[in-house]
Amino acid sequence: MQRFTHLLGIIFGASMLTLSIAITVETLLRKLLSISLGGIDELGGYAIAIAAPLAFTVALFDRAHIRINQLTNLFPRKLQAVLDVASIVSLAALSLFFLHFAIQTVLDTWSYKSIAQTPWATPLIWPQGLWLLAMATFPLVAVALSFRAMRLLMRRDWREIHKNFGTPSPKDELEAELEDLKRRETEVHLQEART
Amino acid sequence: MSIAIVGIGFGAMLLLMFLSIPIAVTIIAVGGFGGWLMYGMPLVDMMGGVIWSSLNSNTMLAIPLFMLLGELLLRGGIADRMYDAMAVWLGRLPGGLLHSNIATCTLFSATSGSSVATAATVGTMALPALQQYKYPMAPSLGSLAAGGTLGILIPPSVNLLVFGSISNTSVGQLFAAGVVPGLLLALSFSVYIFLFHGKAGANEVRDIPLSDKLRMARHLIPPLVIFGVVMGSIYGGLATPTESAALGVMLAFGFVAGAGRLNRELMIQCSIQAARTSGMVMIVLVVSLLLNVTISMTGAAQAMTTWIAGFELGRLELLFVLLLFYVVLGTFMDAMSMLVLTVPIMLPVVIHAGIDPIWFGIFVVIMCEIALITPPVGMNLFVVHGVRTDGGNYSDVIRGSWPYVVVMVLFTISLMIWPGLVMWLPDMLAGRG
Repeated sequence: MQRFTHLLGIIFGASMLTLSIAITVETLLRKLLSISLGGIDELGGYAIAIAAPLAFTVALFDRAHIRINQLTNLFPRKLQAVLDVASIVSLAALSLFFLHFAIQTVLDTWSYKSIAQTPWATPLIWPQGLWLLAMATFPLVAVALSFRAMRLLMRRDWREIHKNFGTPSPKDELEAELEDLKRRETEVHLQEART
Repeated sequence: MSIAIVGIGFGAMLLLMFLSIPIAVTIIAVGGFGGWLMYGMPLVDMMGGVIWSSLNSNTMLAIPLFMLLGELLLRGGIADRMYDAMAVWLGRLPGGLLHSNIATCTLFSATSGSSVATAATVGTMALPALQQYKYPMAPSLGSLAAGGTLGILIPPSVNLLVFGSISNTSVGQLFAAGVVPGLLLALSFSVYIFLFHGKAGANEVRDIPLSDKLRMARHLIPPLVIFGVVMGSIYGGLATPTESAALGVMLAFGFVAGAGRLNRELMIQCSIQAARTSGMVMIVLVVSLLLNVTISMTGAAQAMTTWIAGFELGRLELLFVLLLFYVVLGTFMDAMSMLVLTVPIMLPVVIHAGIDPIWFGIFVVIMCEIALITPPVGMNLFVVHGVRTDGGNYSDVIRGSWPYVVVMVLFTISLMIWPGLVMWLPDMLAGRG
């Protein structure tokens, strides 16, 4: 599953980078040569609508969705674990809620044959179809993680629940940042040694 | 709708939140369920369209682009040498390296967008030098923690983008409004250091030739160029905030490539990190826009406005109440949650009191900054303490940071008295000056 979510993250990053190139070219052409490629705005809107659910999924897998744990940190470990499981299950419910509405929106678009009110007059079923596909990745991962959490709960494996579904402590985040800083320092030293 | 129901809704949200249920879920649970209770399925059925239209938006697109820009600068190591460059220029001021801490954090966090990354990187670079020159520990840690908060006020700021989306105000205007208060607040921090820690680092004897200083200054070029292009293109009317973010990404990409650091692993890491942080922010933004639907349909904002108007508070009195409310809320809530939870309900109240929504955006973001350094839940306090290698006590960072909370509160009061400090630049750019 980690590979899958990392792949989603890479698709997200690649699409944002590609969009940046397109938007930069469009902006420079428009301002410097008064030439407009047209439609980049529209394309950008579709791209972020499609990419956003991928980002929700990456954040979900990395336990990055915001939770406030100051009070629950004082609770007994078992109760904390139950709340950790409740959190992932509630996120799965949210993802299904999103998916339900995405399906409804796409069905409406299909039946009304809706077209974007833009110069491109894009049939909305195309971007929304891709959006629905991206929206499906969120519940796919969320429901799988929920089942895993519930299995651990049934086994009363509190430690694994905390490790996999607890909120990451600032210490964990800091350690990751410091490790990355060390990697960058090493790269600089290697680069200096080469020159 | 009665004020009691609004109170119950807000209370239910707080309760779920303190049971560590994800913020996005708590907002939608109360917003969606509340909407269903009041209006039944027709209101809930509207939500599909809102999800699509809130995601398919250019303001939303600016969020991941600014995140990617920050990741490229951070992971590409472009910002790492900023501290050394600042230190040689600012080290001789009374208070020495403490000013460098503030200045580096300001510039670093304005480009990186992550207070954890800012405090971790700048802290790691700064603390060995601070220890070597025997700077007192608490003020050193305080300056790092407080400096790291400035990035969410100085544009480009994701918090201002989120505020702009929720409040339907111009992001360009908000960015313009953030510049003067951001720089003045940094200056206020420096004045505090000058007045109360002016003797710190007096043992430091360093005479650095101008040529070395100029050579070091090259490390400041990438962040300054990016900041200049991003902000210049918005204010010059050349680009929208989203377009300026794309220009920034391309420049950052160019700087990383120019430094010979561009490789596949770096791009993968930046992509995943940008997805992670963008996903975290965008989901709360989407659900908060859904909550907006419930709030406007059910008349919750109107009920709150009428209730508060009943107290017949003047503008300043209302703002003092809000200041107190936010400082208290910020002690136990993180900055982004505070923003998305309170703005939809508070904005109509302040507009009714004759307060400009752009001004209120800056006010709320300063409140978010305070939340980052007020215990027990102050992210920057945790991080700066975590960077220490001398195993000192957590109370040191709290002791070092609280004077900055006082500075921020006094600064906010001065903005309340002289709102023109915030509105001057956006008004001038909009031709209203």
